Amino acid sequence: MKRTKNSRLKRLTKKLRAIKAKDIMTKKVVTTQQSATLAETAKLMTKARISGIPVMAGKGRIVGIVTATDLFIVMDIIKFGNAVEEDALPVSDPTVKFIMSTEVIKVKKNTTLEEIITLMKYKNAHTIPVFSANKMVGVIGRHDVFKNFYAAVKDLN
Amino acid sequence: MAQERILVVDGDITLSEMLRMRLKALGYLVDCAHSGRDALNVLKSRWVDLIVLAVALQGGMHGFQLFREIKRKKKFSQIPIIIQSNKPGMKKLFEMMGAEAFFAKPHSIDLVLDKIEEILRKEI
Repeated sequence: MKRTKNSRLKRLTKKLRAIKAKDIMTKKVVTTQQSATLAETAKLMTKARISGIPVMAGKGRIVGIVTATDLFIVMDIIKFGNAVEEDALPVSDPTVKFIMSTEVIKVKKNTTLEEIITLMKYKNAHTIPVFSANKMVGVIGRHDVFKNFYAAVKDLN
Repeated sequence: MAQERILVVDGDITLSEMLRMRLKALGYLVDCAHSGRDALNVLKSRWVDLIVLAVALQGGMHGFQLFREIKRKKKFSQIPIIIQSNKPGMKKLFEMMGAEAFFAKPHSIDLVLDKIEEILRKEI
């Protein structure tokens, strides 16, 4: 019995190492700009049905990430807005720059699903851009990770 | 003198563990929480001298909510809070709301340690 369990675990690990970022990433990447308003960005995210969006500056340079959680944070700040001095808060028309995360965790095309799961879990990353030769070639969201992890588990049966 | 206790609240497990190790080496007592709920449980169960807080946490509560919750409660409102976050756009907001300092990630842990020393020595 124990031998069967170990063998299944080994097969799962092998599968998670065989699945690469390039296999699970979304290749058509929707992006936004620092100066865009959060209202515009939320609209883009809703339309594309994504929970995180890279923020670009200049020629394809990524400067941040905005996630659905960030949009909720801003909602809370706006709701709390009457208790703070209005002029110190960009609450009337907040831009992406206000809430974006500037520390972007990136992976390469051949990064394994096993490594991506570790990054999402331990670095609390929601949306991970995939880079190849200094160019963003895709994005991986938590949904992509869940979908592919459970598909790999199902395949063991 | 009693050892000072620091609560590190961050959704980034790797960074909080690094900070915990550095603080312990300096002789502080350290609690780590990765969610707002866990942080509140620590605050309810023991006295904390200083909090290092991030905006991105695990679970449903984010750092801004937790910050407000702590500042709202009379029992905790005087505890100094240092923010370490990858959202530099929120610096002004947190400083205005009473954060002792704001460090934009990626940052040097040494800067945070220096600030902690400065705040706690000032309080004595």
